[in-house]
Amino acid sequence: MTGQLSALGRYSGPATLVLSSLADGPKHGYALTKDIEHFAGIHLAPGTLYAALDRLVDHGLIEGLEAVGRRRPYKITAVGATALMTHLQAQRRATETGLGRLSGAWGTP
Amino acid sequence: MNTVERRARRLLRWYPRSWRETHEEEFVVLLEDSILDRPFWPGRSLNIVMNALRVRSEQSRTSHRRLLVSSSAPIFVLIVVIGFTTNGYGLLSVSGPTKGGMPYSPGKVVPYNKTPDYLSVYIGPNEVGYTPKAYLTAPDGSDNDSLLGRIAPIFASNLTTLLGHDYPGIGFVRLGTSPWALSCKLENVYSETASGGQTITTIPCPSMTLVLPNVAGMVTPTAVGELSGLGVGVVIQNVHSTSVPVGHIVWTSPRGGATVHARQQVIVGISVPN
Repeated sequence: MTGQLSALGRYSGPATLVLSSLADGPKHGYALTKDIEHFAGIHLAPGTLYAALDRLVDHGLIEGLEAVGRRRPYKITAVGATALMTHLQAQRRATETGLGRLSGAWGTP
Repeated sequence: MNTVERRARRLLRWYPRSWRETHEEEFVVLLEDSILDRPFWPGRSLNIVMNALRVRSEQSRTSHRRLLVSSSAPIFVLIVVIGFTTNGYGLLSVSGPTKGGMPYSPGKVVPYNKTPDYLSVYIGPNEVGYTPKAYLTAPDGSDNDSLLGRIAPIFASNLTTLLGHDYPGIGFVRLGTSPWALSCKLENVYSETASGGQTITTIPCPSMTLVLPNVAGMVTPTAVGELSGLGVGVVIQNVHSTSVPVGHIVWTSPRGGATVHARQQVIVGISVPN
């Protein structure tokens, strides 16, 4: 178990989207794909979504709740919330640096 | 069962049974929703099949038996065969030792079975030799394997001609040459004391001899510190002992009182819990 999103390797992209989606409350698979589509404009294919869910559960960043009917909601854990916070803050630093340098060298978009 | 559900369950069969047991209903309902939402999504089925095969291959790494009995999808059998031929199981692969450089993967420990059998080592200008990997890395990833740090044999690129040995702290020494007679420069080793001060130890040349102190029974840090300070190389080996308390020295090879060369390797047996 590790609290690092980077430990998820090539799944860290979908994993970040899933964690961000779960940050405001538990969701099941379909609700996750619709929410991610809404806020990120990315259609996560079912296989990719479940690959990310499996890894997040393995790393203790999310946990599956009791199924409601046929759908099982997933919930972000405290470790997951910390990992997401760390990851997003690092991304924000990179984003701000990139945007700052772009506007310095290429003018404000 | 409606067509959408049938389609969803057919795709689900690509996943191994153990995965289906925990995820079946939630995954089928997600697929149904996804198919109803976007009936035509090129790549969705392939995405599911690829991820299902990935789950199978991950499970096969932990259990080869399960991999062979759970071949519900015909193409999977084909993948098993390809997997065996390329994974070093020897069905179609060319046998014989592999050689190469130490694989590097940032932030990760390279597994023993992914390391070439013989690792290339620098032995001098324009000259590269190969040494068995057991001298540089341990099968279980521990840093306390009995071979680690020992004087390692070095082979030529065809792995047959014996060129000499790599002596820790001295370097490559050709066969027939005494490592203790080599000309050398004094070496300074900088270390930090517990209080934060720096100490400099000068390691004498291999030609100098000294009498090894008897450190058996001493607590490990004191003993290793004393030996290192004299300029001999210390190789630690774990030993189970009934008489020597854990963390203390059981024996040394050569024994205390023996005359050794500076930089010569001394193996130190440390008592560890059973």
